[in-house]
Amino acid sequence: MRKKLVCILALQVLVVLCVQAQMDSLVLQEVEIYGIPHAKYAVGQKVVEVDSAILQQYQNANLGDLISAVSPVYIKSYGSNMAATISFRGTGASHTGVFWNGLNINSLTLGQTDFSLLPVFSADEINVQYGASSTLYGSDAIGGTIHLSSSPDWNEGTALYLNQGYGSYNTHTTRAALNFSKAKIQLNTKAYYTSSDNDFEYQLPSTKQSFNQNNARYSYYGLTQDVNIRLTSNKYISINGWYNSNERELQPVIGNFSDNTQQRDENLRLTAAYHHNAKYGNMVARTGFINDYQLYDKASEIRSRQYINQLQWDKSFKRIAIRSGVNWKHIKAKADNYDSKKTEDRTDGFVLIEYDLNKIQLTTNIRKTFVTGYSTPLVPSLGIDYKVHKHIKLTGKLSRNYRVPTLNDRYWDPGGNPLIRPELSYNIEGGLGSNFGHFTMNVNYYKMWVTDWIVWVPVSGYSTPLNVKRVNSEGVELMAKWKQAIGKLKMNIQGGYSYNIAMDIDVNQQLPYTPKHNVNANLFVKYKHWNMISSIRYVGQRQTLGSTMLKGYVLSDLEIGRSVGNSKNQLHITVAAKNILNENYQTLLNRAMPGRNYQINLIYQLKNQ
Amino acid sequence: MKLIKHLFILFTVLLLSFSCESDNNGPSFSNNVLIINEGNFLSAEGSISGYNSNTKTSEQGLYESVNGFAPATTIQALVKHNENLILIGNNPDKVELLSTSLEFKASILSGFTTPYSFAAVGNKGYVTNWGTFNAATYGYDNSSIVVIDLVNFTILKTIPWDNQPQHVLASNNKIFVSNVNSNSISILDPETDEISGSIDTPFGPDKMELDKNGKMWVICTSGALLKIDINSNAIEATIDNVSTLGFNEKMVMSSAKDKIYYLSYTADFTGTLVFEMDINATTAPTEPIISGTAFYGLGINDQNILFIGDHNNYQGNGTVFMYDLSGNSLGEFESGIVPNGFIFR
Repeated sequence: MRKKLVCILALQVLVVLCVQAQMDSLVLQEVEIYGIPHAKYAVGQKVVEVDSAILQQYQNANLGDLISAVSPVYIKSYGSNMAATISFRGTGASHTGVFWNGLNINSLTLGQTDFSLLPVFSADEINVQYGASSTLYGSDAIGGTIHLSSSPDWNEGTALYLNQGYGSYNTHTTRAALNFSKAKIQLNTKAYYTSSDNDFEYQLPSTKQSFNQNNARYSYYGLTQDVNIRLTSNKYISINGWYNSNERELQPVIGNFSDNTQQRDENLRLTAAYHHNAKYGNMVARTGFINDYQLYDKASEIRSRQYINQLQWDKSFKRIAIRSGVNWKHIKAKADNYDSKKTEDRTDGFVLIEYDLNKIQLTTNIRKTFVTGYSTPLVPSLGIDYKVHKHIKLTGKLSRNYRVPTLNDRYWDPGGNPLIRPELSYNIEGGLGSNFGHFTMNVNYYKMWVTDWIVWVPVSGYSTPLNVKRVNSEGVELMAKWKQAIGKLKMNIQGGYSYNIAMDIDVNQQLPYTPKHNVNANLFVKYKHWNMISSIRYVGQRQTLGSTMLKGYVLSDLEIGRSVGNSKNQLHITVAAKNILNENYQTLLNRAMPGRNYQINLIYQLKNQ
Repeated sequence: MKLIKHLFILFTVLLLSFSCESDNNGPSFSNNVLIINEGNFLSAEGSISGYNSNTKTSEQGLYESVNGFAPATTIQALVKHNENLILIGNNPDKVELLSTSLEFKASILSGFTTPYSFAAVGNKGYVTNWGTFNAATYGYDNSSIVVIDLVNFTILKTIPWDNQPQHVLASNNKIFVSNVNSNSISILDPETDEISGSIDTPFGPDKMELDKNGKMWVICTSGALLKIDINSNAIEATIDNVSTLGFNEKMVMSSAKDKIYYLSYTADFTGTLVFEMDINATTAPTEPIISGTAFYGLGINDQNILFIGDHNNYQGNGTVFMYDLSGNSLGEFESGIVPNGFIFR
């Protein structure tokens, strides 16, 4: 096996060399910025951009709420706006890579992202890439990846966006954005603030008494800043910054009226990139800094810092496009439960090649990560897109993927296991996509074999992580989208269904908190100055860690808006109802979730462009 | 438009077909063993399982199938009292009154802080409360003994407690409270609910049981077994070098109440053991009678069958192993999450 991989790597290098030899005759091109870093090389996979109308509807929500409304992922939440983790295609919370402007923002200490800490407003564009792609994105990309990105508005002039909202449970939301662009410079600043008492009512099943949820208040604020500079048509600089601060009480289990645990999270993310489209190819040099801080219950601190440097080169030819690069990440982490400050280096090298054979697009990608102290597997992938017909495309992908253990897995005292191995997975997937302009539809099948899945097991009076679990996950996803405009009526309907079997093969059982069925549908209607957006989703029953079966539930949201004004000055009023059916549901056992609730927003937009 | 219609029908059909996936068959009341499943720390997923020793079948989630809702707490104890069961749960902290067939009757939802164990004298119940967890000291503050009225099911009074009260045993018109973070057992007078005395012990007195002669045996986390005369409160015997768990000890008596069974870790902490000691022994046993990976709960029925709950490394449901007192396996069955004790009926 290893020999074969070395051969593949050698072949890749050979292709790069051959291509380099014949480069001189090519014309310089403008720098293009994509929403996801390696879009061109994600052949054989489904990448879905979240529709801008839906993005607008979820402007005041967190990423977990948005993602679960538009894609068949399961978000497990410790309550309303509480810690929320993802399960994508039946994988665990740390098997989804979350990226912001090309940087993996999964916590290094826990290895996963708390989706309640990512306000939707902070991103201009959100893409969901289904399925494994470690060759493109490195560690964590096993179930899927989610990409938050800034998308510069180069329309000359000034644009202002103000949004003030008020909703149930004394929820205040304020959003503001200012975009400025002139000649070669584009600036965008966004600021947001939300606070809520979050004291929604729930009923205690035993006594049927109703209570207002205690200890669940939250507030957060943040700021994003983008600077884009076009030095020349082929030289481009982008700088992005994001600071987010979240302070909340941690919602206890139902019936616990005395808990008063709190948590504070602060995240600072900075990145700058220089793009140069030169004769020798398109070069991107990126540097980044991530500072994550968490204070649990005023007592326990976890702090980690990442210094990231990426260098990437790519070149497109008539039939072939090549991208190769090196990422180097220096990590510093400190936690009350580490015996000392930990530092670590992770270096990735990758080569991505795309072959364009008219009807067929092929990619062969390969990546290798070096982590201080131990080795990670070499991962290759092979992807294909085949346009069998004007409207029909077949896709397929084979890949090997991995996840580097978290810092807690290795350094937690007591229990940390320095000998822990990375988790490994082999993935295959195939799809059929059809596009008839107004109507698009696709069907995907996937199967993955995850081994060395890390589980904390008590072995010596305390717990220690071991590579013990083996999971096979398999499923089908259906997606359809239909767009129509009749006079002043615009309509957009989309829906998806997914079926997933994720078996823990040692106990021969579906993984806990992994629904087999997931359905979601969104409808957007615009008529003159009115618009209506509604989303509905069904999540099937899922087993808890024990024998309890949590019932399936249907959640639906509805928003109606009216705008007045002209193209320059516009006032927009929206009224939204969430959980209209007043469904009593839990995503995690014994964590209450709010019933029907309302929100009203007043939005002012000035476009001096 | 036809397309939308078809899509709509497709979704509706899908929704309908998945919403009626499983049906509960309802509980059977033939179980003669109840298994108390604590549930994992913080998830409030405690449950009660049943086992029928004649048909050798087990059933999960009995409480939930009887009542239509789950206990929604971490079950620390389930204690028989007259024709009822008293359920002690923490996170959320509560005490529930159930019938012996697990029907929910009443609950007290506030006034407890990490309650752990229960004993009753007449219609007065005594609940030990560890107190509120202090993340800075890893200890508990504001511990207490809460006295409840078992007829009206209300709190009568809260007795502030200086130490962390673990187990409580009522006998001879005295309430014995083991102070697990100290070197003493306190004695309460159930008439006045005042402290009437105390017994000095090695560190960490925990589980207490009465033997056939009415003597009280106490296992201490520091590795000692004590025999106490409950009339004079005098320690009659101290067995040292007892290997214990060191935390939340598990100890039961044989049906004739002449032998003591308790859990311990192996020397390298990689496994768990069951030890047997005769009440007339003068030294601690050195050879276990049974060993296993993750023993957590212990019980003996009146046919002297040992039931041992294994938490399976906290990964989902547990397993109950059955043994005779010579250490011969009599089979096993599945339990809920973290089985910590048994009720035989």
